[in-house]
Amino acid sequence: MGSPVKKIMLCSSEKEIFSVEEQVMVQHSVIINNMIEDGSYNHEESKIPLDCVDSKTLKKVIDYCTHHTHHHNDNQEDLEAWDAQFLNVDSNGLYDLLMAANYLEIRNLLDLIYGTIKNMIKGKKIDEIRRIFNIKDHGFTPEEEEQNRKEYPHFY
Amino acid sequence: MPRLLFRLLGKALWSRGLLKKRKKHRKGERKVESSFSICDLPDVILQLIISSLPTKEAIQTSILSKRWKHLWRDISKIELKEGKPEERQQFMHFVARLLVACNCSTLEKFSLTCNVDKDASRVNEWLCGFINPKIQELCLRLYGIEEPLVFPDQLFTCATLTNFELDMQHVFNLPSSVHFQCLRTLTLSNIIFPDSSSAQQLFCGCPALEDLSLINCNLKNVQAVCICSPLLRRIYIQENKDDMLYDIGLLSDTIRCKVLIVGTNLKSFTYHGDGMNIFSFLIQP
Repeated sequence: MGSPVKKIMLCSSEKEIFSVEEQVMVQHSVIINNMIEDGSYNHEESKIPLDCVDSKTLKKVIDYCTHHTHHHNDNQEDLEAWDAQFLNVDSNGLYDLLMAANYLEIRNLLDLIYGTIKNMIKGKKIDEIRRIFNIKDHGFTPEEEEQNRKEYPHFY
Repeated sequence: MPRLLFRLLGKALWSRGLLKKRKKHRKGERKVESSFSICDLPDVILQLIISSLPTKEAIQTSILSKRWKHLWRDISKIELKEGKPEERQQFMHFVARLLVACNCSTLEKFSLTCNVDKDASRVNEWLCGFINPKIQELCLRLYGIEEPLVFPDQLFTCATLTNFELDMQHVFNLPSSVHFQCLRTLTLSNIIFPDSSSAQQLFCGCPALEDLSLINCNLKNVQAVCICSPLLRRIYIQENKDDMLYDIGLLSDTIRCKVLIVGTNLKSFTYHGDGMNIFSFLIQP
């Protein structure tokens, strides 16, 4: 019989408590790893307050870390399929995840999200990218815009 | 991406994003579905996204809006590949302009594939400009070299370089001091080692090396060399007679190079070739 799995408590912006295997978060989040390492987390009483991560997003982040901890030996295709399904969210969901991953410093999740955004804009025309990034006012004068059009005709 | 930066930014960024969202929710009526709040992302994150694009597309983002105009200049990755021969002038012009406009000191990955031909001095200028002391991954595939290229001296003592790939059918001249403190993966293709001491100097200067590939490298000027990086795990050697520059008729024991590989960590050694040189191992328990 192994010793019981060590758990840590994470607290979302709605004050909902999530109990997660310590190893799962330590492996993925630089911030939590540092907290455990420097002893600032007390297993008896501490909860890690994540005031800026809502419950829905936190649950997704925990899902991601848990899956990648327990399935890291799966073949690459399966993992990629799982990641694709995981990131099948609307743009606000993607934004929330990006911010949460950035806050918790989860590098592989960040890379995954950057890759997804890259694929959204790669090879696209300028209007499409402006729409994706919600750029309503580009700030160029008509003359400047004309010049840009001349310089990058294929982008229009 | 430096850790500290992430940490410093983390909280501030988040609260900005959150406030925005809450406001939208409070206003209520209109659902926030298509408005990608991603335009509110700070420059440093947008730059990471831009850096992940192919270089030409990364530069194009400069005309998305005034705010984006200069963002691309701090990108961390540049990949340059020459296209068709008839577009060479365009390519040369493009790279020259890029070198002026881009903030090369933030580059972490640089890759250049091109014909050098009669433009050695321009290529030298590019190498000096793009290769900064903080470069991490460098890939140079240089063809049609007529005169020796000059690599910036700082390259050979670069403490951040982890991956170095060099493909050039020419003598690889090394400066007197070679020390790649963090180099883990080294791939050399078609290069000609000038002499034994240079080859030795190179392999002694990579204390962190884990993965070494020598593909059709020419060791005719090297009598013996010892590859002895303590962390070396994988070696791949390919040497085909057809690809060697020297006359096969001259091949004899006297001109074969003796390569001694010393390592405790070696997990894999792959050899494809015609037995041009002699490889022996000293694996300590």
